[in-house]
Parts: sequence; structure tokens; C-alpha cells
Amino acid sequence: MTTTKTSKDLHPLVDIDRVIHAPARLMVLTYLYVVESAEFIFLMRLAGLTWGNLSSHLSKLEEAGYVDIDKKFVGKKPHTMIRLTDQGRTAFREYKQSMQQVLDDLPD
Amino acid sequence: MSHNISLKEAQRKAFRLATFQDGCWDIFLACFLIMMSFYPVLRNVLGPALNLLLLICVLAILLIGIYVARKYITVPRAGLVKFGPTQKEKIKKLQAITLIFVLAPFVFWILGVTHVITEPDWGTAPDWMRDFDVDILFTAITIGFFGLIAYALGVPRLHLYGWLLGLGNLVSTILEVYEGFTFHFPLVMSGGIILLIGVALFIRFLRDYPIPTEET
Repeated sequence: MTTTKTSKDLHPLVDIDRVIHAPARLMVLTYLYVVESAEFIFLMRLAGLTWGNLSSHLSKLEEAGYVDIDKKFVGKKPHTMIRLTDQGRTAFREYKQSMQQVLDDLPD
Repeated sequence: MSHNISLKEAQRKAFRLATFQDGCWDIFLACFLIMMSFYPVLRNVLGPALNLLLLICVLAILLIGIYVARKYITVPRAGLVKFGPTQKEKIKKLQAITLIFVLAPFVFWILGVTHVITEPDWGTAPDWMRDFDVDILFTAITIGFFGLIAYALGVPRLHLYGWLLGLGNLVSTILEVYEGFTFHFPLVMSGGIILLIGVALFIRFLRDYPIPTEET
């Protein structure tokens, strides 16, 4: 007898957070997850993204409430620190669990 | 953009970029080794007290140099990061291990001078073991210490530095005892290799990370 997976069986995949699922945003959130906060340039270097690309991804993450962007001036130089919010940290953890569950359920 | 994501690797990559990628610490270690190789020669010229003072002054200048280079060269190119509690805890443990590694020889030296500990009885052991027991122990501890730090921080080149430092010191001592060489040139060679690596890393860092022109 063969069984087909219903949408309920695929629940973790259906519920996957699309804001996090984009590779570049996932990369950015991964780095932010392991640090307390990071400067924009540091994140750019670490993720290997361009200025504009990172800026656009951060805007989406900020809209979703996953990151907190603190812009200030140190002397005459702009200084942008980015931090994962509690909501972002929880969302990242849930995303990780969902993906793990989906991948664990896949046949070899 | 790399798509290989692992939380542990992400943590190590962030730490490497913040500390070891610019080659500044490599250059510092190399300069320190080269300076140490001149130490026995200068001791004969300046006397122990003045020589120690000179060592401390050069060490302070090197540390100030590192601070200035990181503030004005590294940070504007690579940015700043604040590590989380787990990473801070790990850094504290490594600092404690480093402090023990640096202070242990002084403690043993004081215990030896005050005769709290005495030379072990080697019995029928060969002469080289009797002559170089402390140096062999120092070499083993150095290789082990650098290996531990290399593994904990995910910086494989520190394994090489451990071997270079340990063996450089051991060979220097052997040459001093048997051949009377007070100038520790094996240590200079070890320092030279580390210096070349450090300078190469520094140049690569400047090439790969130019100062960003756009502002946020």
C-alpha cells in the first residue's frame, strides 16, 4: 500500500518562514545569531555580500522585526550596528527546527 | 557568497575575521620571537636589569603598535563585532589558559631559585635528557598550548607556530650549550617564517578589504 503525504504531513515545510528562507538572509541571520551585535561592514565582509544587497536584505529583516538597526555617528563617521531581536532569535530557532524536521523525515 | 552554513563555523569565521585575519597578531608574535633571540646577546652587553627593561619597553611598543594598527587599519576595513555570552566565556577561558602558559615558567623559576623544588634525579638517564629537561618540557607545553588554541579558535596555522616556537627554542638552547652560540638564530628563523606569514596575511587583508566608500 502506498501513502501520499498530505499538506498536514508537510506542515513544517508549508509553514517555513520565507523571510528567513532566502539564502542571503539565512546567512545574515546565522551570523547575527552567533554574535551579540555586528557592524554593517563586518556583516558585509562575513557574508560576502555587496553594500546594496546587504542593505536590501536587512530592510526586509527589519520590516519583519527580526533585526534591530542602530545608526549613529562616532565622530564624523557613520556607525551602523545590527542586532538580532528576540523575535528574530525565536524565528531563527523555529526555522532551524522546521527544516531539521523536514530533512529528517525525507527517505534516504 | 558562500552557502555553507553551520552555526559553529559561522562563530569561528566571525572570530577569525575579528582577530586573526589581518595578520597583526602573527606579526606581533614574530617580532616577539626575534626580540627574544637577541635577549641573551643583549644581556651580556646591557646587564640583566637593563635588558629586562628593554624587553618590557619593546613589548609595550609592539602592543601599542598592534592597537593602533587595528584601530586605524583593521576596524575601518572589517568593521566591529560584539560577541555573545558563549563566545565571551570561551575567550575568557582561553585568556586564562594563556595567562597560565605565560606565568607558569616564572612560577617554576621562582620555585627553583628559592629551592622549593629541586632538580629531579635522572639516575642513569642520558646526558641530553639531564641537560635539556626543562627545554624539552617547554617545547612539549608550547606545542600543546598552541595546538589547543588552534583547535579551539579554528586557526590551523597556530599548530605550525607552536612547532616553530618550541623547536626554535630547543635548538637554540642546544646550540648555546654545545656550541656556545648566544645569538639564538633558530628562533630568528622561526620568527622570520611567522613574520612572512603575518605580512602576507596583512597584505591580503588590505587587498581583500579596501575601505568601503559608500556610507550607511
